[in-house]
This record gives sequence, C-alpha cells and structure tokens, in this order.
Amino acid sequence: MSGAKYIVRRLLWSLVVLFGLSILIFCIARIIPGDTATMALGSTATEEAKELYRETHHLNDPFIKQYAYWITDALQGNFGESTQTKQPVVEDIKTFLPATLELILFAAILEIVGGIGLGVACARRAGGVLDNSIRVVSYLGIATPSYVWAIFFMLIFCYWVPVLPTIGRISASVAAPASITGFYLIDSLLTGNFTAFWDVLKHLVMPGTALALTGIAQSARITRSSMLDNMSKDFVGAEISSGIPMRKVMWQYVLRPSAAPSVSIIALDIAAMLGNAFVVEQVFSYPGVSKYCLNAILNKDLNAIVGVVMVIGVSFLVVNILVDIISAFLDPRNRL
Amino acid sequence: MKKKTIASVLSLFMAAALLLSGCGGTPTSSGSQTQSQGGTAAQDQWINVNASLPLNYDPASGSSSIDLSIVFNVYDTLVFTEIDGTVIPHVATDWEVSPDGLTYTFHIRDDITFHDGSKLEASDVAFSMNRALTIGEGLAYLWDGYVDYAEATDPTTVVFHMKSTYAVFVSTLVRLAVLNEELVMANVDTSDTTYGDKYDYGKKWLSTHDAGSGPYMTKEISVTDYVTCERFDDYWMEWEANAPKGFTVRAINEAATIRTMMSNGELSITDEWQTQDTLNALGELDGVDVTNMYTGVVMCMEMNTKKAPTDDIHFRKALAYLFDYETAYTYIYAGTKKAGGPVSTAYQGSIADELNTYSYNVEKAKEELAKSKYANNLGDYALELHYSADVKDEEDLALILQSAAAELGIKINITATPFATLIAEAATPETTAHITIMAPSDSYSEAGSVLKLHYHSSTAGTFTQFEWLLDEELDRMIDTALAESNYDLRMEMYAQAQKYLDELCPTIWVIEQPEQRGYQSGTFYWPEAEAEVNAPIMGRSLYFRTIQFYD
Repeated sequence: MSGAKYIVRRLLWSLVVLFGLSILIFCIARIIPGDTATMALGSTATEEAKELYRETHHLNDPFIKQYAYWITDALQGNFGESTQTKQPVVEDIKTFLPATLELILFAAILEIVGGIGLGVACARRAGGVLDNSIRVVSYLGIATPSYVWAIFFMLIFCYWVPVLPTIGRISASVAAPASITGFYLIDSLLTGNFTAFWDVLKHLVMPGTALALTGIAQSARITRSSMLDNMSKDFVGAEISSGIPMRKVMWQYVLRPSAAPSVSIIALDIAAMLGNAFVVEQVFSYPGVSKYCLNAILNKDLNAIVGVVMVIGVSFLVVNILVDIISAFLDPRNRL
Repeated sequence: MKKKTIASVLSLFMAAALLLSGCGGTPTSSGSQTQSQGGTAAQDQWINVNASLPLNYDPASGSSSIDLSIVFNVYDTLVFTEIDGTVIPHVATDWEVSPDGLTYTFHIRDDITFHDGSKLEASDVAFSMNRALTIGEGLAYLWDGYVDYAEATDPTTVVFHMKSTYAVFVSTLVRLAVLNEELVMANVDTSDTTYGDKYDYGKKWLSTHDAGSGPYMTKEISVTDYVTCERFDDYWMEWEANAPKGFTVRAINEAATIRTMMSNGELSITDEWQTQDTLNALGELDGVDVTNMYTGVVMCMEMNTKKAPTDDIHFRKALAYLFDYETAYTYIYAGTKKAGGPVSTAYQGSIADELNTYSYNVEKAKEELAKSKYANNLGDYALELHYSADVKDEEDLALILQSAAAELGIKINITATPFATLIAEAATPETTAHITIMAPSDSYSEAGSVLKLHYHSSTAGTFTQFEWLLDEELDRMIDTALAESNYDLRMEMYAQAQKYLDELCPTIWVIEQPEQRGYQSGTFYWPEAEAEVNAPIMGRSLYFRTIQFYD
C-alpha cells in the first residue's frame, strides 16, 4: 500500500473513532451524578430558574435529540457554552489549551533529550557505573508519580532554595506577551519580550520536569535495551572494524534503527500527558486545559467536558498517525 | 573521569540555581518574587487568598463562600453588618415600614459613585432587586415569594413592595449587591433572549466584569483561576493609610502548595477548608496564626427521616446519644465547641446553650433503642453514612459513630462521596443516605435563617437539607416567626421551633465549627480574625477594607 493511501485510510478511520468518542463522552458526561441545572445555577436557585435552564439547554429532550443538537453545533465549531466560565467552550479551549500544550512541549523536549541521551549513554557504557546508576534512578523515575516529583521540587526550589516561582504561568508583575500563537514562550520571543520569556521559562521548569521524569526514565530504559540489541548485530561490528569512530557508529548507525520503539513510547507519552497534566497543573496552579477539564467534571459542565475530551481525542489520533509516519521513516521495515 | 562527570553535573546544577536565583530573587528578596505572583509583601499592602474556584462573579448568581466574599468587597449593599452581625445602614441612610408590613421605603445616600464614575441612584437599587428576582439564582431564595417588585420613586428613594410580610427583610438586604443599571444594560447579550426584552440581563458580561461601587474594583479575572481587584480610591468611605491596596484570589487547592506559599509569605490568608493537620502545621510557622471565627456553622450528621430505620424518632435519638462529642471537639476539631442544637450560638435567637439535650450516654442510647420499632431486628438494616470526599476530617467523625453504633449491633457503612454526588443524592428521600455529614452556612444573622434554609419543607431535596423533614407544623412555626415584626416575639417563636426540632432529633448536631484559616498575623491586623464574636453570614469574614498592614 502506498504511503498516501495508508494515511488517507488512517484519517478515515480516525473520523470513525472520533464519532464513536463523541457518542461515548456525550453519554458519560450525562451519567456523572448531579442535576445539570442545579450544578450550573447552584442548589439554592429557584425551581423556575432551573426549569428555564433545562429548557434553554434542551436537557428535557430525549437523549438522541440532545446529541443531534450537539453534533450539529459541534460540526460548525460550536461546542456550546461553559457553565463555569459563561464563555463559549471553544474560546475557553483557545485560552487554556496553549498553556497545556506549551507545558507538554517543554516536557516532551526534556523527555526526548533526556530519555534518548541517557539511553545512549547507558548503552555505550553498558554494565558500567553510569549505566547501573541510571538504571536504578530510572526505576525510581518510573515508579514515582509526577505529583510526588511536583511536591518534591516545590519543597526544594520554593521553600529550601526559593529560586523558582511556586504557581502560575507568568508572574503578575510581568506583562504577558501579545498573543500570536498563544504559546507564551514563542510569543515573547516573536515580540522581543525577553523578560516575559525568562519568566515563563522559570514557571515551566518545575511542572515540565515533574511531568517528564517518568517518561525520561522509561524512554532511557527502552533506548538502552534497543541500542544494545542493535549493537550486537553484524553490521555494527563491520563498521567498528572498518575504523569508523565509536561515537559516530553509536549516534549515526545504531541510534536510528534503535529509536523507533522509543519514539513510539515518547509519542504516546506526550499524548497521554494531555490527560495526566491535571495533577501537575493542580499542584502548581497552572492555568491549563487539564485543570479546566477537571473543574468541568467536578461541576458537571457538560459542554466543557465533551469539548475538552474531543480535543484530547483528536490529539491522540494525530500523534498516533505521526508516530506511524516517523516510525516508518526511522525503520523502513515498518512501511507495510 | 567519573569524578569529572559528577563535578560537571554539580557545577551545572549550581550554575542553573544561581542563574535562576539571579533573576528570581534570593531568599531574602523573595518578596519581589512573591509579589510577582500577585503581591504579598507587607510593603505592597496586597492580600493574596486561595480558594476553590470557579467564581460565579455575577452577584445575582454567586452563592459560594468566596463568591459572596468578593461581593462584600466589590459591591455596596443597602445595609451592612458589623463584625458581630449587627445590621447597620450603608447605602441606605434610613428606612420605614408601612403599618401592614407590605411596603419598605429606603432613603439612600447621594454621594456614592460606581467604579465607572457614574452616580448610584435609587433606580440602580430597584434594578438590582428586580434582576435578582427574575434570574432566581444565588441568594434570590431569600426574597422569592416575599418580595413582589422594587421601584424608585425619586433618585434617593426606593420602595420594595412585598407579597407577604417578611420581618427579617432588612437583615436579608445585606445580600443585595447594588449594580450599575446603565452599565449592565449597555452590556447585555442581545443574541440571548432568555429574559425577554432584558436579553440575558447582562449575565455573560457580569461573569467577568463588575458593575459595583464597593471598596475594590476588578482589575483582572479568569473565573477558573484568579481574580485581582485593586483599591477604588474614590470610595465614599474613608481609607486608612495601611489598608490593602488590593487583593488576589487564586485557585490553589493543594495542601503542599498552600503550606509552601504561607511559609514564604506568598499567601496572606488560606481558604477555610484546610485539614486539621495542615492548620496545625500553619500555626507553627513564624508570623502565621490560625483563626477561630465562629460564623454560625454547625457540623451536622443529617438523618433521613423518610427511610428505615432513621425514620424512627427513638432510633435517631439513640444515635444522637451514641456520638462521642467530646472526642470530636477535643481531638478531631481541636479547640472547637459542642453544638447544643440546630442553631449556632452566633445567631440572634439561638437557644443552643439552653437545649444541649444530647451528649454521649450509652445507657440512654440503649433506652431509646429499646423504644424503637426496629429494636428487635437491627440486624436487618445497614445504615449508609456519606460524607464529602473533599473534607477528610469528616471521616473521623463517621468512624466515631460507626464504632459506638457497632457495640449496640447497629451496622454503619461509611462512604466518601464527591460533593456533586451528595447534591444528586439529596434529590429524593430514596437516594438520600441514612446519614449525611454536612455543614451548611447561612445568609443573615437571625435563627430564622438557619431554620428556613435547613429545616423548612421548601429546602427538602437540596444539599441544605438531607433530613427530609417535610413537617407542616414546623413549616408553620418558621413561616409565622419570619412574618412576626415584633423582635421579642419573633425570638420566642424561633425558640419554640428549636425546641420542637430538638425533640424530633432529625440531626446529630456535632460541633460549632469555626472558620479556620491560616493568615499572616505578623504582617497585618485582621479585625474579623481577632474578634470575639463574628457575624454568622457566609463570606463576611473576608472584608479587606478594614485590614491594616503593620508599619
């Protein structure tokens, strides 16, 4: 099958998956305990006010009719209004998603550089002190959840050696950069606002590292074992015996075929971070979409729940497709 | 080589730390970093508070503790309450009530301006009441069924026309935030016709803006994350030199984050939902104290009177005698006091001290149990006890009752339940657990406020009443009391209702729960925190205008 056909087929399947996801999350959001009108207006709202809310939001209609209303609007890019913020959910997602994506991107860079770098270092000195030390540390990294790291970092860098800001995305005393992409780091660079860039970067250090650590440990382990596996192959011995420096053999000839499994894991990790970031966002009071979604669930904000989950679903699908393409590029055996 | 690698890593770490500290401030200059989070340092005279958000910023819709606190700071009301709950004139200078009690005429000040510089007039007051009644959310229940409509008869006179007599009406007006009518109506969403020719009545706009005349005005808001308000210099009341220049409320819920921020001064006042462990830790920090403000909250174990076996009065009394109150107020909520009845001693008209009927007494519990119709088949029932999963200390209260009940053969299953689920459960007697732990707060400083909100049939099915009393006699007593204009008679009627409730025993009144917040007592003087008596009015304790920073 040609690459283009494969991608088209994957995209079509993705649409089917998204349709299924929309039905599933639409149902789940309505199963969450609590009367939607009461959650939106408060328990003390008058019965007339609650009934008006139900009527206005089609909550008294049969389920299928409710879904039809929703999907018709959603196809036009309208996910309805959030009961928390009283703003269109799309606007909320535009506000909060870039913050989370920026955090995840930062964590992803740490994971790629740290995970693959450490994996290669361990493979080069397999059985040595560095390899064994990193192996032990990586077990710790895999076994320790990100919120524990978050609290640990906060204790060190906000309490014992207070060099990093405790909460938020940018300090109140620093003007946020003019919004171009919604990513503060990029926007501050584009507008030459280096004060904001530095401040935003400092706000990303702790949550980003806490989010990335488990992935770093995991990808380091996978990269190491995959590298060791490939290093035992004949072609590597031939390259070494023909006088190619070890460093070049490792980075140029062994890493490329060894990276495919790590890339898959890292990519899925990055997609999963969208769902996992809420814990870190909660600890650092980071205004991201995961925290927004958590609040939406606690307050039975139906439109917000469905909107955010759909966005996370799309992200997963896009990342999965990208992983397949990158894997095929890295290892031609995957181009099937 | 290895030593070199380790040294390199350490050097890198140190360099990173120095680099960060160079721009982030050293420990001694953490104030600047602190201030960068919204300001905390004493010299900035800024108050930072954490709370559970999202905010419901429209005063006609908000009903949570933090929503109502912000209303006190951003809006003015016709009347206000002193720290102890005494009602005093505020926007209103004086008022008259017609002989039949059906018309209230208020005269208002003519020197108040809104934050946009326009003048506050009687029409704004009338608009605010009519809007609240139409929308019917938030605290509108205080006036729903009592107030017909409001109208301005001249720029400084507003008249409220009542549907029925409502003796506590003036006290409830502490909840009526006065909105700038012109500003609100200029910002209605004309695509939304929920309220006919009033469109959305400005709900969308007011969810992120203020239209008030209060001591602070909104500077920046993200309802899910924070709100920052700064001092309104043209406020009609005087400003003390050391009053806060502004405040920021942030959504911070993690205990570890709160403890860190309190310890380095980034947070001025915590929310009131911290566990006893966290409060104890905060109390040990230098310059930090924990408040003990009795604001009328009674921690209740509410028993479903429409479900067997808690539908039996003797069974309920047995449980009330089985609870070890002393352990609750001595160890679990150390330093609090036992609740004597349905209405906290903080309210006018409370007779909790006089009642105090139930105490830990196993013999009496056995006696009551023997009188119960379920005495011979206790094994057929397993009681469900639900508490809010967010309030971890409540589990300890549940365990006390569970262990005592087990000794008499009563089985209790304890479940930590999300608050949303508790609200859903409250919808019908069948879905309501046998016992639910809840600590409701109220809106004005008379016992009638608690009696109406917690025990009147009109609130059955909401999270303020899990008892499902539906008792017509009690309803009559409450309604008659609220309509009685003679203060002494009204207090007597409240007393009768409390005695009646005490005999029904629908609730185990556990403790009077103080509002406990950590605060930077070494940095500023907070009158409410140090008062002997506090107003039993939710949100009133966080009134920032009268806080004084030390020089």
